Amino acid sequence: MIRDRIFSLMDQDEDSNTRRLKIYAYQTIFLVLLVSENWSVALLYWEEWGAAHKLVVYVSSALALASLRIRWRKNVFIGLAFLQLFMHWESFPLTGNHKYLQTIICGLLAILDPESDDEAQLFHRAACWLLFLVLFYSGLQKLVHGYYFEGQFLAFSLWRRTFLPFHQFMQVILPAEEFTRLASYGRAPGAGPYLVSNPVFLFVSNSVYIGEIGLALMLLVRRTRRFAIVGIFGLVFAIEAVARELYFGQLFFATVLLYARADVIRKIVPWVFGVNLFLILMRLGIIPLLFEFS
Amino acid sequence: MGTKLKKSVTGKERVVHTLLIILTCWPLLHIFLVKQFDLNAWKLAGWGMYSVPLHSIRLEITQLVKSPQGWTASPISDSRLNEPVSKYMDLRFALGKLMEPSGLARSVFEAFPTMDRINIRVSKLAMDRSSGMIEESHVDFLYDE
Repeated sequence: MIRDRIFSLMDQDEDSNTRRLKIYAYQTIFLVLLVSENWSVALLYWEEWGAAHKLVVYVSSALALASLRIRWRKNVFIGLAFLQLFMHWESFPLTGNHKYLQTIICGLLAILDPESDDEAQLFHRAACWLLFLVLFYSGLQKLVHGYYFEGQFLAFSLWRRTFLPFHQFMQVILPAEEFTRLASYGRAPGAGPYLVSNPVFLFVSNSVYIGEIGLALMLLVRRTRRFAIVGIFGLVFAIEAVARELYFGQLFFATVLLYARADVIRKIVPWVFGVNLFLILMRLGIIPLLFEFS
Repeated sequence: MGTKLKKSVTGKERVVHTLLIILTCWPLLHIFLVKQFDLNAWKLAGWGMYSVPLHSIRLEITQLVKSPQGWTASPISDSRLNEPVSKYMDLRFALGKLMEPSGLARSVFEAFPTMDRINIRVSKLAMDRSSGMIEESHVDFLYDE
């Protein structure tokens, strides 16, 4: 069937045991990110939250601890999937896009058992296809809506505090009077125009969606997959350096690594623990807040 | 046992493949809804975050009273409306023109039973793509008790 041929584009040259180990490593990373993000948000909004939200944080943490027993993982993910659906219900329609990705992956981990070769392959194909969709449509949406053709979106980003590193980059590549012009506009009616004609700036702006679409398509071809993985890391790193959506970025990185060899994703598991411990310590104030993040 | 397992995997395969097909097609519909109905490109799993500068929404609720000179408008501001207003603004911010404020209008008439006619003005502050200018657009919704 055409459908099977398309999804089989995600397949790697690997044996079932290697695939299983990859998925277990991915499960561990997913759980660390989920718990870390839950507590990171909880520490910001604890006083405002009702009992239900707080209970979700405690239960998801307990479930994550229970996952240390590999045999219990399927039930852990079933429980987490229900909690995720509850959180969706509460926040809909303002739910962040990465929460949809998180919930879908959680659901897939709940219903597909990595001990079964067929189900492990199905999970691998599904997660890799999801990653392709997110990257491809992220680029397509930018192309269709057209706010990158003349630098409009990036010029407007001067208003986002977390885009400060990008502002510093803008100051380097834009003539001083151009930067001053853009920085002088507000958000009130009549502000603007947020249009840029500087060729270097336009190159950067248009590279974003071209890169996203191009790299997504390169993932589908085995010969270009390795280059795509490196390219995606560079692109997402650059985006997250300004957007600072670190939990989405980490989940994205981990899912990209499903396209790579097994030992790569397994090697980063300790790093994921370390990075997220660091983020939680910053939230707790034990380490000074070096940068804002979400 | 082998057949049962195979059937189970095939069933799961069907579920997962159906999900993936829906997720593949949905962003195309999302793009259409953003363009036609002002759906928020950043929400609802269209993967359109950072594609459009984020807009903001403002709401004005006015009571309209008939007088010999015509209709006179007086703004309504009451803490009883804080929650319904906030809820509607969240819905409008995410779902755009798909969300009309009829529920909010009902809340206003329940809080102020003597009112006969109200106008709810929804203002959107957004960047026009071709001019790069921040523009405000309004839509008025008229409701009679």
